[in-house]
Amino acid sequence: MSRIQIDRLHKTFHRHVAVRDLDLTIENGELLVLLGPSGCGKTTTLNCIAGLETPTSGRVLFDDEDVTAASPHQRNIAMVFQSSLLYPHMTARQNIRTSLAKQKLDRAETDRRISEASSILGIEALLDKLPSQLSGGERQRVATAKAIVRQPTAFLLDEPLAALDAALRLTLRAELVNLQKRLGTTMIVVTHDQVEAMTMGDRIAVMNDGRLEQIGTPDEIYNRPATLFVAGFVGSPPMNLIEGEIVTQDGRTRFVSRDLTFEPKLAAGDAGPATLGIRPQHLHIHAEGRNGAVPVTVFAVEHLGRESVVILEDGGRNKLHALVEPGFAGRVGDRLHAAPDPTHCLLFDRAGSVLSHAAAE
Amino acid sequence: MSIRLSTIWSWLALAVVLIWTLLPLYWFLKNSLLTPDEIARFPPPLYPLEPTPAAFFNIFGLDYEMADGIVRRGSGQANQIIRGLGNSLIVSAVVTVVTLFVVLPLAYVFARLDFPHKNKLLFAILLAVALPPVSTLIPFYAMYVRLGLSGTLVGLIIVTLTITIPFVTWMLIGYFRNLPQVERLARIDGFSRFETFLKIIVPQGRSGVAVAAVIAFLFSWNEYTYALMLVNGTTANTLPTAISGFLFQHPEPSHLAAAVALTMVPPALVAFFLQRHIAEMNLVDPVR
Amino acid sequence: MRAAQRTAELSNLQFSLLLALPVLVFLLLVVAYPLGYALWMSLHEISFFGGYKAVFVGVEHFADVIGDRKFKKSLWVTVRFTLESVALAMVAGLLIALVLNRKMRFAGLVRTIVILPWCISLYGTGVIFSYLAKGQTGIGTAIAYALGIEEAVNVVNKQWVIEVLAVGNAWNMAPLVAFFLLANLKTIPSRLYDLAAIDRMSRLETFLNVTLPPLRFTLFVFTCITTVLSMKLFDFIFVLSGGGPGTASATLTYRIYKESFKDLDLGYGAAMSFMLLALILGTTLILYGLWGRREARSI
Repeated sequence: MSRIQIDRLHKTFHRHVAVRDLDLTIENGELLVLLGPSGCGKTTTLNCIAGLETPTSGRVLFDDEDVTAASPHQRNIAMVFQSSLLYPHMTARQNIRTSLAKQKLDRAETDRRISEASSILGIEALLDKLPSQLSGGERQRVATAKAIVRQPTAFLLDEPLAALDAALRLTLRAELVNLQKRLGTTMIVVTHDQVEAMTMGDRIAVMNDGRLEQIGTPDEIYNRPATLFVAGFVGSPPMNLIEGEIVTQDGRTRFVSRDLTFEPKLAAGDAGPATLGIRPQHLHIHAEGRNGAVPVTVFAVEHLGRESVVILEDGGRNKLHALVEPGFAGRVGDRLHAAPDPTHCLLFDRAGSVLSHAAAE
Repeated sequence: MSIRLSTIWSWLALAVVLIWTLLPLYWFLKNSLLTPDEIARFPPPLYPLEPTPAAFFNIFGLDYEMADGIVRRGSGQANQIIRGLGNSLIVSAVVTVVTLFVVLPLAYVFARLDFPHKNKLLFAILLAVALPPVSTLIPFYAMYVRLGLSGTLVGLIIVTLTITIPFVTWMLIGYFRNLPQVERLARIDGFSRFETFLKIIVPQGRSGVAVAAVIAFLFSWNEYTYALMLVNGTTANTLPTAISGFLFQHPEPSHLAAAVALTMVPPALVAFFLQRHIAEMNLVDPVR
Repeated sequence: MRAAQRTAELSNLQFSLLLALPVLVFLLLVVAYPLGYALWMSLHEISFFGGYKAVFVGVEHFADVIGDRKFKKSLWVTVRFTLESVALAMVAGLLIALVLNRKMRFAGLVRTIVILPWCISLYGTGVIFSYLAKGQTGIGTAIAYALGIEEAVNVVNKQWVIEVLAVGNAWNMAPLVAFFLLANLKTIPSRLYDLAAIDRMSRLETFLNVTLPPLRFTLFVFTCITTVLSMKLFDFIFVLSGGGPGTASATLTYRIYKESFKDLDLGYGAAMSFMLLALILGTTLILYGLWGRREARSI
């Protein structure tokens, strides 16, 4: 178990910068999710923590010890790779045993650990099968067992569930979190799936283009995104983003876009180009036009059972999402008006940083 | 109706393929079962009227008494054939082992690791595949005379390696490239690079390794040009060069056919294995 | 503590060097030495009579080779033999692959039979085809007599010997082509054939639009491989026709063999072998430039 610190980590491949001056601390026993689109540097970061890649500059510390130059094995981490990589020519048992090959344990202890790990993951019946004979979910469990037998200082998981179908993903992510909490081992999960990140992480670190955009609890990430990128990346359906500008007049701040003039209830920002962010549940739909509403056309209606999502198109053919009651009767082509809730909106400046949050919920 | 027609067509196509493959083999190998009478006959018989295995005994120097009491004497070249067979087996076995030993790490390095000038070196390997043996014969011959290697098995083995190593390396590069990226897993598990290669990659790629071995064996077993120039007429004669004796000196078609049939035994034995695994070798990838 | 432990792992470069360097040195030696020696020979007049002598003659041999009518004849024989061999091997390989791709019983046995010609040696193939094609023993003669035409049919003649060689060579190479094409064919999703059927494509259209496209890069690579193999081929020709009748099938390889080993004109033979090497590399490069680059880009 350990506290992992990343200190000004910088990694370049040839000329491409994968990670830029990243500072990050993962607390002991924490489950941190590294979230970002593909190519954002999250896997490189994980590989540097694991010791699979050597940082161009910067340090990696485990419990305040510099392990930057140590091999993965010396760091005693365990890793689960994308699509649950296993040695294809070994049975599940041999795969798990290989984790302990260099641990200098006696045979009885090795066997004890293997049977313990397999009973935790419920894979006793699969131990003598080859990876090719296992389903995706079974392979994932075997890979996890292979990780936990070593009793590592940290678990590093690289897109562990990406190759699985949706239903299985739901089950397995709960199992992983449950396991992590039971063992109390530090865990870092890399994913591009924001739902996975929100449901699994104690904290989420959102990365983009090699940089850390924001780190915080799922609640902070969702409700108080620090940047436009985080706001747009997290949340499903995604946050509506409307470009326009902030106009200050008579001591009042207004947001003005092509179709919308709107007075948000938040502290005044400087005048200039800005983006208004509004979550679908805070975009209200009205039949008649009114102040602070955008004229829109219904583009599609998606019934989800508990609620419905209406996809709307404004005059500039931008899509807006709104959550509505399941009984919503609008049809494609209907002309309606969408009004952002002035108390639940965000404004971002031209550089993408949040200007100020609306009153906390 | 149209389904029937297409079935007929596909049977016909299969028949054509089988005839194309087997007819030349049959036409020649039938000679090994012919009696001297039948061989002398003109036009040549379509099939052996009284098939006799005499030639297969004769080439090993054994007499064979036919049903009518006539004894067909063992071939005068029998000791050459036997020695050639032994030499061929030795050369092929050694070449196979050395090739594997050399090629596995080489192909692995080219397939899985990046290092400077890799593409130039890869090109050099492909160039070695493209070199015509007739161009390199004289230089090798000159060197061998100076080093006392001409007419020796060691010399033949070295020169055969120059054929097998480049080709098998090329085959295995594509094969290794397509194996899963388990090196990362092995590093986490604490294996050194050598251990990873020996304990993980080679066992994991064992079917590729087996194909490599079979190909190296076949190339060596079938090699003729170098043997003809470097060991022909010496005690290091291999089976093909020993057979040349029949070809050019004592035309004895049934013995020739039996001896050639003998050279086809190993290819026939590995054919089933090869047809299953040959396409796992990726000749296309490395040049991409 | 841990900070003090330098990583015990080797870098890519160190590991690669350790594993590959000895072999690479060997390979470079066996490529560089013969080439260097041949280059030296090609620039010298080497004589054995009256004691070994090597006199530097510069590019004289090369100039002689270019002006040599026998060389031009051999060049033409090589080109014709290669073109026919490659065309035959590719077509036969493709047809065999298409046949093998059908679901059938005893598929393993059929494939085992089909790969046989590639497994056996080229000198063996030479012997086999000389028996098949020569008048005394040939199948043509046997068939002619069976049909009542009492005449020996010998196709190993000045007119047809190159075609006989090409067929034998293609017979030997086609299985390799076929098995790699077959591997590609198996990756074509059967849904694509359903789609083609829905679009009412004819058999030819289906072949051109569904079957052929994924094979194109493999076809290119094997065109190169069979071209190189055909151009450097020696033992098969040596056994089957011995360059004859006359010089009708004297390819460059056979000519080089004759100049070097029979006439002991080593410098001249070496100069010619560089011409052959240039032909092999040049043809491959042209193939790549005209065809391969396009296919590589389209993938």
